[in-house]
This record gives sequence, C-alpha cells and structure tokens, in this order.
Amino acid sequence: MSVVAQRILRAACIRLLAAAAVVLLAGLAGATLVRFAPGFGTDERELDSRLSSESISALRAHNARDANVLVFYARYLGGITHGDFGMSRTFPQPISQLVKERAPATIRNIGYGLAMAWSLALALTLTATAAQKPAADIVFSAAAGALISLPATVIGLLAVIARKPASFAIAAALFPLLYRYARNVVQSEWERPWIMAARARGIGKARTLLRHVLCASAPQLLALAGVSLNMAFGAALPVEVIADSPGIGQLAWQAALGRDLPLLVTVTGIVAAITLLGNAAATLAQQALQPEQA
Amino acid sequence: MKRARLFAVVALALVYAVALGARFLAPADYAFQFREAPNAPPSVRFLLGTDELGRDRLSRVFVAAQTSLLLAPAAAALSTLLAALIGATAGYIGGWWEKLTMAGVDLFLSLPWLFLLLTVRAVLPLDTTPALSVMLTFAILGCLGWAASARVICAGVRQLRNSGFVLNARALGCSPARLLAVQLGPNIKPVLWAQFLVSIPVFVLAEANLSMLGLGVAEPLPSLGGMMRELENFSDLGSQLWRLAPLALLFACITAFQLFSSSREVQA
Repeated sequence: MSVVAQRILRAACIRLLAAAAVVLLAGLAGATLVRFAPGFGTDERELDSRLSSESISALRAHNARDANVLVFYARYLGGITHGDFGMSRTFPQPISQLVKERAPATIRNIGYGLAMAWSLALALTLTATAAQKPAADIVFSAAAGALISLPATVIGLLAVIARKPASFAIAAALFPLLYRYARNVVQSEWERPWIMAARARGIGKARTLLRHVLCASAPQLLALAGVSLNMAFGAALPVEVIADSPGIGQLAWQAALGRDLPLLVTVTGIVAAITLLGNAAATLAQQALQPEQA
Repeated sequence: MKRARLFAVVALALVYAVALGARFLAPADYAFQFREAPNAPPSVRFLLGTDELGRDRLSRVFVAAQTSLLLAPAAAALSTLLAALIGATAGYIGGWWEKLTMAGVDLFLSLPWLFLLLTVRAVLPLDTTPALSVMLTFAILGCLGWAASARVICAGVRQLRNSGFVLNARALGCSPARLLAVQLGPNIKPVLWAQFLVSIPVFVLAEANLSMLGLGVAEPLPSLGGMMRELENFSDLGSQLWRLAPLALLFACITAFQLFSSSREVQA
C-alpha cells in the first residue's frame, strides 16, 4: 500500500472514530436527560386500582433496575448497539421505529433538494464565468442575495403557497449559499495563468471550463459538497415543519414542542453522525484528488 | 460598492434609530388588546392594522425590531468573544493545541446546529418569562455560533505569530499576555469586526426561524420571527399585504447587513 493510501486510510479511521464518538456522546446525553427527567422510574400502571400490592411491588422492582446510573448508562448504550434507542414520550412508539418511518421522507427531500440546488448553482456559476459580463453576475448574485435574506421557514411557506414540494424549498434555501461559494472558487480558477494560457491558445470556453477550471476547482467544491449536507439538514427542519412533510426535521420539531428529550437527542445524534460521515467522505475524496495534501 | 454601502448604512441607521426609540415611537403598548378591533385593516388609528388579538401591528413591529435587531448584535458579540478566546489561543500557542482545537472546531461545524439549538431550547424550563426567553434564545445562539469565526481568527493569529514584528517583540522579551494585547490584538481587530458583522444577520435569521417554529421568543413579547407566524395563515394574504410588514423589515435589514458586511470584508 502506498504512503498516500495509508494516509487516506488513517484519515478515514479518524473520521469514523469522530462520528462514533459523537454518537456515543449523544447517547450519553440522551441517557442523562432520560435518567434525570421528572417522573423517571415511576409507572402509571401503579395507579391502576385493579393491581394487587404484589403486582405493584413487582413493577417497582422492575423499574428499580435502572436506579443505578452506571447500570442505566450501560443498558442504554447496550440498547443503542442493537438499534434500540428507547421509547418516545410524545409518541407511544420506539424511537428507532419513528426514525425508520420518517427517514425516507427526509432522504427524498434532502436528496432532491441537494440535486436541484447543486445543478442550479453550478449551471449559473458556469454561465456567469463563461459570459464574463457584469450584468449576468449582478442578476445571479441579486437572486442569491434575495434568497439568502429570507429565513428558511419563509422559503418553505412560499413553496407551500406555490404548491411546490419541500425539496424545492430546500433547494431554494441552499442555492444562494452554494452559488456564492462555487462562483468565487470557479472565478478564481478562471483567472489563473494556465487557464489564460489555454484560452490564448484557442481552446474553447466550454472545454476550458469543463475540462480545466472545473477539474481544478473540484477539491474545493467537494469540501463544499460535504458541508452542504449539513446545510441541507438545517434547511430541512423548518421546511418540513412548514410544508407538513413527515420527515426527521418535523419529528425533531414535534419532539422539541413536546419536550421529548430522548427522542430529540437521538434524532440530533443520528443527524450529526450522518453529516459527520458525509463530511468525512468529502474530505477523503478531496484527499484522493490532492494526494500531496493527504 | 461605495454607494451600496452608503445605502446600507443609512437604512440600518434608520432602523436602529426606530428600534432604540421603539417604546417612545410606538403609538400603543405592544401587548394592549383593542378588543373592539381585531384583524383591523390599516387606518389613521392603526397604520398597519391590528393582529387577530387586536394588538396594534405597527407598535409590535417597532418593539420586534428592538428585540431582534438589538439582541442579535449582542449574540454576535458573545460568539465573536468566544471565537476570539478559542481561536486566538489556538493560533498563538500552535502545535498540538491548535490541531486539537481545530479538530474540535471541525467537529462542531459538522453538527446540525439547528437540531442542537432545538435540543438546548427544549431543555429550558416551561415557566420562563418572555424577557428571559428572549435573553436565553440569543445567549444560546451566541454560544453555538462561535466555531466558524474561531477558525478564521485562528488562521489570522497564526499568520501574525510568524510575522517579523511579533518575532521582534518576542526577541525583545515581550510577555505572551502583552504580545496578545498590544501586538496581536490591534492587528486582529479587522478580522474580529468582520466576523461580528457577518454573524449578526445569521443570528437574526436563526431567531426568525426559531420563533416561526414556536420555539423562540415567547408571547406576548414580539420579535420579527414571532410576528411572521401570522403568515402561516396565508389564505387571505393577497388582500392583507400589510401583514407582510415584519417580513419586509427583516428582508431589508438582512440585505443591508449583507451589503455592509461584504464591503467591510473587502476592506478588511
């Protein structure tokens, strides 16, 4: 195995460990919140007058298993390794089942949203760079500036009014951020001496842009791709609430309103792990493209 | 760029003057309900009409501007201070400490901050007063928004640490504290100022998002985001455009902040 491959593998291991640490910390935070939440260790069945004193004692003995904090942590983390995140307080369902039910909608929203935002941002970036006319840049920048000045909730509301799906609103919220960064990166590459030399030798604009400028900008755009996953989750939360899309973002909001801390912490931990893995993948791809910086 | 910046400065000065004098300029108390006039259209008595509880919308917009636009800079100052402490220390010490701090910053930047914000906000007690809720909302924003600025400040201090004048000061026996305060501090000021300005619109938008989701500033205290919850009932929005006043103000302020901060960044 080459030295560069070894470095990339080492970086991948570090990133995976970081993601695992975040999940572990989120699990511990969740366990702490559950352990010290009001009503912990009590069971509403104890109020059932039909139960005998022996049955109530048995219930209490069952609940007393978690009185020791360390035992409780061990049991909670053991549950996480089996995909058991405990029960939601807002919804009478296991948290893992809730996440499984809601994940497809969010994956769809974020997937389509990212695809649309990236396509539009790259298309406008390449158009503005190829045109090299202030008018095009002003129009695209003004559109991006207008969208960036609106909260994601309002963009979600506009999408609802226009009868567009939630993914459309996520794309509209992401586009200005992606366009601004991509435009700066591509423009700075366009002004490099070797690009000027290529153009001076008569290579067409389209070929220069697609084969030289885009390739040179790829590492920075890949880094942005990693960050854009995090931004997409940030935009998905308010948009899913406003657009009434039953995804992870809406679930987190319902958990926050119902002060369902175990559910909220679990969802946050899962989203954090996904974004960390996304960032790790982007960094590794970036290092593979630029082995000298690995 | 100069003209755009001038326009932004004038617009922001005007809005901040109104926000500072909101309690004196407001025609009515922001929480007072004119129960005989709920959902009233604009008139001489109510220039922007009233909301569904009969509260004067113009008075509420003034106070909302005060809440959102005065506390966002406070949160930005808090986050810039945290970023300066963490970033400058890491940049100045360098070595493994800088690597460790920047790894922590990277990790923090990778976290879904809106989800974190919801979690922290949900932990707060239910019986918080509106004034306390607004303080806590912006304090949380300030405490969670330092990471991106810390990275920039760290890079700036690292660059200065290796510069000739700092090496010269070190060689003359300048203490680390004095070096940070007298040599590095003034030189890093433009970076801090740029980070502070960039953070303000981010926090205004974050508060607007949180309040529109019902997790920001508690009623009856108005904030720009809280007032925009009226827009969720959009069926008759076309005939009641005055309900868009808080959104228009927010949009204008964020645009002005962007114009101002981008030109400051260019200068820095």
